[in-house]
Parts: sequence; C-alpha cells; structure tokens
Amino acid sequence: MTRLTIRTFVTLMVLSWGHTSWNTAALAEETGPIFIGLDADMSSGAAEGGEAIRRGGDLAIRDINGKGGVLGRPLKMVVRDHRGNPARGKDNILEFAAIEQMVAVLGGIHTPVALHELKDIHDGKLIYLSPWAAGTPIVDNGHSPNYVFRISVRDALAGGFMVDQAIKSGHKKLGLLFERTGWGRSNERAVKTALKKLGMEPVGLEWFNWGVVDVSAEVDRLIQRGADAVILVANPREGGIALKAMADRPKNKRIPIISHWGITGGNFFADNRDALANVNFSFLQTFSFLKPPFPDRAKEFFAAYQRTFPETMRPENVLSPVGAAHAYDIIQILAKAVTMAGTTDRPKVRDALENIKFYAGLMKDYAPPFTPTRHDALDSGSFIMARYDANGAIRPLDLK
Amino acid sequence: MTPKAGHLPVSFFPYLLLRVLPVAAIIMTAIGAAGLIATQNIAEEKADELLAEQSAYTRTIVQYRIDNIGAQVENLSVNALIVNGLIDLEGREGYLPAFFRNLRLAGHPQAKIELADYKGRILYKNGNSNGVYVPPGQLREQVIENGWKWSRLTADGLALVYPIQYANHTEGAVIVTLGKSGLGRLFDIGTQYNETVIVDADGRAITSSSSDFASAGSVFVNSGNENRRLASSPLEGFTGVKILTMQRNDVALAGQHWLRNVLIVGIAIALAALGGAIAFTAFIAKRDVSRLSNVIRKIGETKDMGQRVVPSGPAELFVLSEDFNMMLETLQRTTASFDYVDSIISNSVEGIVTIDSAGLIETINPAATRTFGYSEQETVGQNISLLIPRDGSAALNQLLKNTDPGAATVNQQQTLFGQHKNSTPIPLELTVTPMNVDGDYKFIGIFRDITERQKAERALQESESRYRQLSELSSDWVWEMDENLRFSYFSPSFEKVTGTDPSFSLGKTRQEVSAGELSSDRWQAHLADLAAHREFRNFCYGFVGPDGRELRISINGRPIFDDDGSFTGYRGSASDVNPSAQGKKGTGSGPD
Repeated sequence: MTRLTIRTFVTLMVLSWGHTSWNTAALAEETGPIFIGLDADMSSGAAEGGEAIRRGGDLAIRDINGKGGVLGRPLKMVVRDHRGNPARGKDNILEFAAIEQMVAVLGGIHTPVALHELKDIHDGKLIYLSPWAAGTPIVDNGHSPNYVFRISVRDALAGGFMVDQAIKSGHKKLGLLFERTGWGRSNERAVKTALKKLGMEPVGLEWFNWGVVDVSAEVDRLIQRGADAVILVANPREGGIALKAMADRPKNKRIPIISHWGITGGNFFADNRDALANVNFSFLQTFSFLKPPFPDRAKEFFAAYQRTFPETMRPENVLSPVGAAHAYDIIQILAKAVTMAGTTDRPKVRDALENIKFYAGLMKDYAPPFTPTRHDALDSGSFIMARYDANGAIRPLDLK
Repeated sequence: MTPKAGHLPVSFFPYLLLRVLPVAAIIMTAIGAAGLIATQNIAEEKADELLAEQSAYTRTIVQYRIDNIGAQVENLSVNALIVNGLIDLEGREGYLPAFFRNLRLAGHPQAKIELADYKGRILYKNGNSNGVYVPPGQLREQVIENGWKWSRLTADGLALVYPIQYANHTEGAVIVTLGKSGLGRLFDIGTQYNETVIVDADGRAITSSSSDFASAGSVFVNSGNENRRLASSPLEGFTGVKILTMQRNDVALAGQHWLRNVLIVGIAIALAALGGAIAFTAFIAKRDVSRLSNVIRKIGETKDMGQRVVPSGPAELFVLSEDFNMMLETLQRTTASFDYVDSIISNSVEGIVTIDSAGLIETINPAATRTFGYSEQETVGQNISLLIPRDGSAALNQLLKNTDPGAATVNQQQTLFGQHKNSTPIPLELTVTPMNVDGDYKFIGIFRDITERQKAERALQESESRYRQLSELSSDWVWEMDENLRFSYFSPSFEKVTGTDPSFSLGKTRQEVSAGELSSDRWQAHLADLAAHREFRNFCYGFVGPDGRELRISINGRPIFDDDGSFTGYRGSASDVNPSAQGKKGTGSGPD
C-alpha cells in the first residue's frame, strides 16, 4: 500500500511537470496496455462479490485480449481493494483518475462506496462501471455528463420486484430491515414507492448499523407490529446477523425473509448454513447458470470460467455468478465503446458507451445497452428470486 | 573480709563501674550494632516490599482507571453507530454530529474523543478541546496498517487510538486524548501514605503527589536523594511509563531508627547509671571514711579510747569500722595492761632498767633512781656504766654479748657492785633478761640493793658463830623431833657429851632409848605433854646407849609449828645430869 501510494505521488509529480513531459508520456503510453481499474471489496465482508467481479472482468479482458485487444492494445486490470469503506474507495478513485491510460473503473458491491466516489469520478472524468452496486442514486447521480454506467439491479426496480414477490407469496404486512446507508435509503424509497402504488405501507422500518452484532430487537419490533415477512437490505455480515435473529426465534414465530442480493457477496452460505435451514430465506438475483437467459452464451462463459479457474467443478460453484456475469458483459461493452471512440480518452469513451447499438451479452441482448438518458442496462425483467440449496448453490425459485 | 548481709562489698561498685558496666555497655553496643546491621537489611527489604506493595496498589488503581478508559474506547471502537458512520457517508451527518456532541467518557468528561478514517483523517469529534496531539504517522502505522491499539502516556497527556475493525480489517480509528488538565483526575489517587510520581518514557513527571519530589512536566531526577526509597511499577500498555512510589528513608525505616534510638538511650542510661554509681560510691566512701577519720582525730585529741565508730556503708568499710572498734578495744585493754605493768614497775622495790644492745639506758624505774640517787632524766640515754662502773660494768658487758635465751649466764642472778651518785658502792643482786624487739635485742635488768641483807647476813653469821662456839664449849646439846616424835637432829655436843653416835638415836622415839620407868608418873606426865604438844622443862630420864650404859639426862622442849599452825615436831636442849657430869658442871638435878 505504501509503495503504491508513493507511486501515485510520483505519478502526480510527473504529471504536474508541464506539457512536454505530459505529451511524451502520453505518446509512450499509447502503445502500452489500456488500464481498467477494479475498485471493490477484495478482502472484507463482501470479498467474494469483489472476486466474482474481478473474475468476470478478467474473463472479458482475456476474451478481448485474445482477439487482439482494443485499438491494438491489450486491456489490463488494476485492482484496488476498498473493503467496503468509502474512504478507501475515494482514495482508489483518486489514484485511478490520475492514471492517463485508465479508461474506466469497475466498481464493487457497495453502494455507499460508489456514492462517496461520485464526485471524484466526475471530477476526474473517470468512467465508472457498476456491475453490482444497486443504489439508485449511483446512476441517478445528478452529474452531467454522467460517467456512471451500470449493468446490475437498480434499487428503484428491485424494491418493486421484492414487494411483488412478497405479495405473490401471500404476504400482506411487510416489515423492512435495512442497513443505515445510502443503499438502505435507496431501497427505502423504492420499497415504499412500490407499496404505495399498491396502496400499502410497511408495518415498520428498522435500521441497523454496519458493525452491529445483534438485530433481534429490530426483528422483534417488526414482528410485534404484525409483519408477516421481512424485506432485508444488507450485506453478508449484517445479513447473517438478521438471519440469525430470525432463526433464533421460536419456529412458529419466524417469518420469511425476502432479501436484496447484497448478502450473496460473501461467504453467506458457509457462515449461516444452520440458520438458512431454519428460515424461509429468499433473495434477489439476476443471473444463474442453472437457468441462464441464454444457455449457449452461459455455457461458453462457464467453459472459459472453468479454464481460467479450474477448481470450479460445476456451474453452481461459480462465485456470486451475478457479479461475474455483469462484470463480463460491462467490460465487453466498454471494449466496444473504446473501439468505437477510437481512443482511450475517457469523455469520448463515455460518449461512445451511450451510443453502442447492440451487444449480445450473458444477461440479455443489450439493444442498446445504454442511452444518454438511461445508464442502467437491466430492468426487472432480468430479476429472479433464488435461495441457497443444501449445498450452497444459488438456485432460482422457479427452477424445477 | 567477711561479707555482711545487707551490705554490698565496696568492690562491687568498682567491679560494677570498671568491669561490668563498661563491658555491658560494650556488649550492648556491639549487640545493638550487630542487631542494627543484621536488621538493617531486613528492615530495608521489608520497607522495599511495603513500598513495592504500595506502588503495586497505586498501579492497580491507575491501571484500572486507564484500563477503564481503554475499555470505553474499545466500546466506542466497536460501536455500530460509529462503524456505520465510516460507511454511511451521506447519512452520517444526520446522526454522528449529535452522537459526538454528547459523547463523553465516564469518569473523564474532559476527554477529547475523535473519529478518524482509515488514514487517520479526523471525521468527527466531541466538544472537548483539551486533548493532546497524536502524530499521524504513528496513527497510521500502528493502528491502520497493523490494526493494533496504540496508546501513549506522557507528561503532555494521554492518547489512546483504537482501531475500528470491520470484517477483520481496520477501517478507521477512535482517538481519545486527555490533556494535562485531564490527567489530574486520572491520577488523583487521594491521600496516600507514600508519595507517588508517575513518569513517562522520557522520564518526565506525568503527575506528582508532592512538589517536593517532582513537578508535573519536569524531568524527574532522583539522583542525589539517597534518603529516599523508591519502588517502581510499570504501567501496562504504556512502554516506559512507571509508577514511582517514594518514601523518605527515615519514615520507611522508622522501626529501625526506633531501635537505634532505644540503643542510644539504653547506652546513655547505662552511662548515666555508671556516673551515678561513681558518685554514689564516692559519697558512701567519703562519708564512712570521714566518720572513721573523725573518731581517730577525736581519740588523738582527747586520748579517749572509749570512742567508737558506728559501722555503716559498704561491706569493707563496715568491716573496717568494726575492726577499728575491735582494735580500739584491744588497744584500750593493752593500754590498761601497760599502765598496770608501768605501775608495777614504778612501784617495784626492785630496780628495773632497760638498755639497748649498745648498753644505753632506755627506761629506769623509781626504785632504781632511788637506789642510785639519779633522776630519770639524768640516766635515760646514758651508758649503763654510769650506774654500774668498774668491774661490774665489764661483767655486765660480757653478759650483754650473749643474747641466747638458753645461755647459762642469761636469767642467772649476778651479784655485783653499782655506784651511787655520791660515789658510794652499792651491792646489787642483778638478773638480766634479753628481749627481742623487732629484731633488735634489748635487755631488762632487774636488781636489788642488798646492802641491808648483807648486813643481816653478817649479823646472823656472827650469831651462828657465837652459838656454835658456845654449843661446842657447853655440856648441853640441842635435839629435834619430827611430827612423829622421832629424833631428827642432834647437835654435835651430843656425841661429845654422851659418847654415843647420834645415828643410834636418830629415827627413834625417846621412849625407845630410855631406860624404863615409862609407867612412872613423870613419864606419863611427859607423854601427856608431848601428846598435847606442850612445852616441857627439866624432864629427867635415863638414856641407854648402845653399850648399855645408862645416862641421866635432863631435857627441855618446845613444840614447833609451821606457818599453817601445823605441828611439825619438837626442838629442845638436853644436858647430862650424871653425878660426874654434875660435878663438872655443878648445876642441874640428878636423874630420877
């Protein structure tokens, strides 16, 4: 870390030394690799999600580089770990933004980190590609031009989807248990909006903090208010605590939990195997190898995945498949945009991203992926509900 | 010396003074010194132990408070609201400011509490400003990069930086600092028996219970204070911070000092007793010797040997007084005896002169002065030849050469001539006796003027001569009988007159040599006289000699009695009254 910081400092010093050195450096780098940054939790509570994104991005880069690269140059990923900590993420963005050949940054799971990075992303005209973080304000960030593009769930849509799933399952009194972050608030707006459309209100909303060790009181309060299901917005650590709070209740006083997908970013199954067996716990997903939107594309992708990560024996063993799939698609789209722009100049690439007509991805046929007014590539049509099977594989609910 | 019950010997005092007490003082001092040396280490170890306990006790209190602060900081570092504040950047402005505004450490409300991000950048803090500076480098290296708790305690204040961990990674830190003013409450451990100075790793005093030992902020220096004892206890979690508990040596070793003082006082008392005993002994001795001296002086002045000393004081003086009194009694008796002897000598009819071995007169009694006509003054110191000149003096000198008491000349009576002052010779009967006086021989001469006796002897000799001549010429004889009336003596005339050996008659009674007629009246009357021890006159009877011849004898007799009046015999005269003898004599009556 210290060495990288020094390198950043040196780079900044070099850049500040007038145009001559700048131009010389720029010319020299035009023949080198095009960098794509990865700014995600690679070691903390949602490290599995970060690793899934890295793998998806890596597979895309391998695929692209295997075909000659972009603009005749290879893509290269530079990984920085933000551990879900916005302060680290912000520092990572500053570092990435200072690298001339850094064409874009692939983000991680955490909405709060992305939200905190928005200003520096736009100050540095750094293209931010979100393969996971679902917070609505990440994309609807008010910046113009907007440098954020997402192939992932959009909370505004996820809220409605989860409410719909609950209603479909016969639940009428929903209790909301959200983390006290921008992501939680993003979902608060989405869920309340969705319920309002149905003429409903949640029976209660309980917030919990990162670092909390017990949320049984919050769960108790929701159930005391008559909740027959809980909509949970949490990452793996706090999601596990909420699950445990429910599992610790008497069997007949447990209610189902309908969770956002943040819980799948870590070792959730391994850490909560017993509790999962005792609670009706389902969660939002987009992509599953078990029921992919395009089986052939998925099969090809898995084959590449297995070649690169040979310890992965079966499709259901792929880590956080949504992260891998989204990252794969968005890097492929980025490559197209760079090719279209004919340059690594980030504003031009950004513009190109809004103008790609089509891409046949793992998730869908993006036609187009993005438009100047729509930087979210997915809609609720891509959403599914899933649960862990006994082996920890994420299995879509409607999979027969 | 005979010990007297109830009276200590005077030697007891010098013994006590010169031997026992000094030796006792030396022994006491030695034992005391040895005891002090022996107990010094024990006392010091004990004092150090107590001090260490005190230090540990103080350390426990301070450690508890600091640990309590640490526990509070620990709680803050895991407080979910704070952890969440690191993540929820857009929302935290809604709750963290309010949370921090009221955030205070229990027990230390002046502590400054800050929330830092993973690089140590301060995000929030409470309203207190009394903190200390935390170097960012140390904060990052110790807390962020290593995930260690970092704490520092110096004279400037206390700083605790605890990492905020999320999923085993440090994502920020809680910083709690206490400035100098806040330390006072932290280290206020109340009044304790000992003084406490807490120093930081640089040796600066963080706090001090007494300005006599250190002042907060200054470097604590203990050198040059050997009169202090010091125990040190490290404060856990703060490298180099030590709790120094100090005690003055005189307080720590009060027991030892007490022991030393007792020893000094003991020795002082012993010495005082020694001095007192000396004074007392001097007083006793002086008093009793003065009494003795007074009595002796009085005797000297008055010659009154009846004076006595009242025995008192130490045994020796007591005995001395008694012995003195006994001596006085002996002396008194001796003096009386001397007077008696002097009186005898003075009143003796015999002259007594003492002379020394050189023949000089030392004493002379009145009888001697009368004999020689000199006064005492004229003779004392003069040679004895003054009194016994000429040949007498030579004989005396010869006598004086022999001092052997067994010699034949000694104690033998000598007859010689002295000389009166008027040059008249004086016949003397002298006996000289030597006496040894302190190894020097003196002589006692006792003499008698025998002038009158010689006169009487001459008269008697003349009388006896006349009697002998008369009896030899007369026809009468003298006879004597013993108490048994047997003849014991005949004068020489008997044989001459009677022609009979006296031995024929000696031992016989008159009757045995008589011619009969014992039954006659005359004999009966005579026998009656004899039996009655009466004088008789002119008794005639017939004496028959060995040749059978009868002689007519007339006798006169007178009984003899000794000084006691006891009868010792008869003495008388006899004469031959035969006709032939009658004719010759012409007197007397014829035999019956």
